Parts: sequence; structure tokens; C-alpha cells
Amino acid sequence: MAATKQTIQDFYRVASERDFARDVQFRLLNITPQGTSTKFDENDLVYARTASLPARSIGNVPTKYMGLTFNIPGLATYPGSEGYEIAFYCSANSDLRKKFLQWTNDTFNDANSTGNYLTPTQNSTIDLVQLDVNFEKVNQYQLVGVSIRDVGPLAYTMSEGTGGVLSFNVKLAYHYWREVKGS
Amino acid sequence: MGSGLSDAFNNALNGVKNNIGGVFSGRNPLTQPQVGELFGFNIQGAPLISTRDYFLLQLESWLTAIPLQSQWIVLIQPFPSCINTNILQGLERTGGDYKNYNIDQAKNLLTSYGFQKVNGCLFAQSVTLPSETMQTTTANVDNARGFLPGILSNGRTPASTLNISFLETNTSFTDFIIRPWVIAAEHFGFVARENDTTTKRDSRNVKSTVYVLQYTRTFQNVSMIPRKVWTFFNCAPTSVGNKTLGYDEPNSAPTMETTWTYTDYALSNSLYLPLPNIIDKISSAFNGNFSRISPFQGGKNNGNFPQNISGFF
Repeated sequence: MAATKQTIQDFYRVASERDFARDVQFRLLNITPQGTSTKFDENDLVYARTASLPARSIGNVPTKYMGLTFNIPGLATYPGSEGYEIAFYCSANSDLRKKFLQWTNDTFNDANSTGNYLTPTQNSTIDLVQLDVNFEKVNQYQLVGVSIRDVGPLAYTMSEGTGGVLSFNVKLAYHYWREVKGS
Repeated sequence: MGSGLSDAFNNALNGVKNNIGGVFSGRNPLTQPQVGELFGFNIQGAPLISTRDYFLLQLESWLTAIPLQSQWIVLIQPFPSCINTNILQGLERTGGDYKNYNIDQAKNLLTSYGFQKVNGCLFAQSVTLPSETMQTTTANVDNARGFLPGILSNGRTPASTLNISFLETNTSFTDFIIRPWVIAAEHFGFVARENDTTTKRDSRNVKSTVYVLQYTRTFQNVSMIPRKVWTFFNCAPTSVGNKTLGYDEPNSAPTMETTWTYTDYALSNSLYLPLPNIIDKISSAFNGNFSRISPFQGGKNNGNFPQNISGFF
């Protein structure tokens, strides 16, 4: 009798029950910014190309005793929270890109030194959802305290281009993320 | 006999009372509540408020939002009238060349409304605000054994200098305004003169008032407001830093350091009411029936602005 229940048959049985996450079964459910007049709807979010589920870490506190290092768990951090990157296709008239640019201007407009004082609030969020094969939501995660950082360039290649579709990257900062239960 | 259990009961009762009192004094914060004490040990409860969310909620208020540190201006009012060609050439050696210390035209241009009033002194590049310090000493008692000595205040430290660096441009603000000002200040001194009244200034008065206004954001497309205004009274520059010329072109804009003296200073704030937030909140309470009077007002179900329930706006 095998010492574990991790044989090929077990793998096949469990995998056929639980299936696997696929790289297309992920969507931006909404982007709800605060401190700006910009709003996003699903006609914008459908242009999202790539995004990721962010990470969460526990810091390590090495503590020595008689030459041996004990690794003690410390505080939670959210790696990459200063620049969460999403890639978008660019529409013909750059509607979506202009919305993100408007958000940067509402944060600080160097032309007249105006901008919203707002600390990115708990209501400034991005909701990310994992989907199943029927495109039903299986998990929802919310990035809290979202604010704009970078709106990436659009790279044109006039001399050697092939008519390819352009895309651009957006970087957003957030404070932390949380799982939205019972969604 | 039995007093131990009785003491434990009384201790627990007192612990509950102390903990309830601590809720109001802040010794027993809602984020880390202790519900009682038994046998000298605390009995902890579940957090009633998230430390993280509560901190973030408070930062939503304009009062506690983090300001930008680069938004400031300097105002110098007025520029002394004794900074002029006639006086400088009378006081300093010119070697017979009328161009030496001929500063009138430069002064008229560099201290004009456009350079000094529209957005403060355009040449100011950095300001070092003075510290505030008092001295303390101890009152020692002979043979005090292990007791610590008492402390006494020992006076306020004299006002430290105000340092301002100015951008060096083709017509140098530092060398044609501040440097002559330092020279004139030394010649005329800081004495009060009978012609100095509330309505007019003696032409030899070298003292001025320097304002430093630190601005912060309000809303998008709405002007900033000064969150902190420093006023330095009876100011005069006391030094202009030296400058070494070389044959390597540096990668930063040239600036000149100056130090200023003053008799005293004052500090004021500008509290700000984020009216769109307030209107938005009132509007929500009345089912959105309030008129939309601000373009930045979100209104019911259209809130762009924070709903800071426990914070100050």
C-alpha cells in the first residue's frame, strides 16, 4: 500500500474534480477611483489584456542564538503594491488611455498646481475576479486605496509596422488587498 | 481564609471598571480592548475597530491628508529703498566707474510685480526654516542619593537664521539685490528711526518682512490654499554665499545661498472646509435632493468623494 495518496490515479481523480486555473479565466470587475472625475465601465475594462492577482508576504525577522538563526515571522506586506501593472489594448481614439491621463491630471496638474488632496481612500478600489469555465465568479479580490502612478507610452512603428494592435501599460498603487467573501 | 478568592473577584471587578474608564481616556483603545483583569493578568477582547482601516479613514480628512512638500512660495515685502545706485555708489568704492554698483535698472526689473508678486519671489529655490529650541538644566541637590534632580528651563535659544537660496539668472537677483542689501544693512544698522511710522518708512530702514507660504491641494481644478504661513519680522539678509567658478559645467541649475536675520516670527494656518464633501454628505442624507451647486459634488449614488464618518470631514 502506498505511503501517500498522491499516485497518478489520485492526481487524475482530484484534477478531474477540481480542474485547473486557466490563464484566460480572470477579469477586472471594476475600477472605482476616488479623487477624480474619471469613471470606468465594462466597455473600458473589456480592453484589459493582462493583469495578475497580487501577492501577500510576511516579513522575516532573523533572530540569532548561539550561532543559530531562527526565522521569526514579522508583519504583512503587499509586494508590488506601489506599482500594480495592467496592460490594456488601446482603442482607436485612445478613450481609455485619456481616462487614465485625466486621473493623473486630477491627482496633480502641473499647469496650475491643482489637484485632489485626497489620500487614496477605502472606496478607491479595483475588483479582480477569478472565473470558472462557465465564466462564473469563483473568487473576488479587492485592491484598496488605489491611485494612479504611470500611464505608459504608446509605441508606434511607422516605418516597420504591420498594422498590429497597440497596447499600453498602466501602473496603479494600492495600500493592501482583501478577499471579498461571499461574492 | 478565602480572602484570596475574594481579592481575585474584587480585582476582576476593578479591572472591568478600569478598562471601561480606559476606553474614554484612550488607555484601553477600541483597537486593542482589554475586557478585564484576573490574578494580575489582562483578559483581552477582540479588536472592535481595525487599526489599519481606522488610520486610513482618518487620512481621508483634509486635516490629516499628507501634503506635497514642494508647493511653497517666498514673499519679500518691501524691498528697502536704500538699495539704489545713488546710496551704494556713495557708500562703496567705485574706482570712478559709474557702472560699478549701478543697480537701479536691475532692481526695478527684478523686484517688479511680475517677478515678486504673481507667484512670490520667482528666484527662491529653497528655504530652510529655523528651529525652535529651549535650554534646560537640572537643579542638583547634594546627597540626593538615587533621586533624579529636578529640571529647570534655562531660556530660549536665540532665533536661528533663515536660509534662502536663490536661482542665479543672467541678471542676478542675489548679486544685484541681496548683496547690496547686505552692504546697506551693515552701513545703516538695525536701529529704529523717528521717520519710521506705521504709514511710512525711513529711507535707511533696511528691514523687511519675509513670508513663506506652504500650499496644499484642495480639489482637482481648484486652487491650492496655504496650509502654513510663516512671517519673519524685521528681516534683513546678513550673508551671501561664495561661489567658485570652474570650467566644468555642472548638471544642476546655479543657486546662491543667503542667510537672513529677523527679530521674531509668527506662524498661522488656514483651515479648509472641503465644501464639495460636505454638500455631498448632506445631499446623501436627504436622498440626493440637494441641488448640485458644485461641479465637484458627487451627489447621491455618484459619490466621488470620501464618506469619512468618524473623521473631521
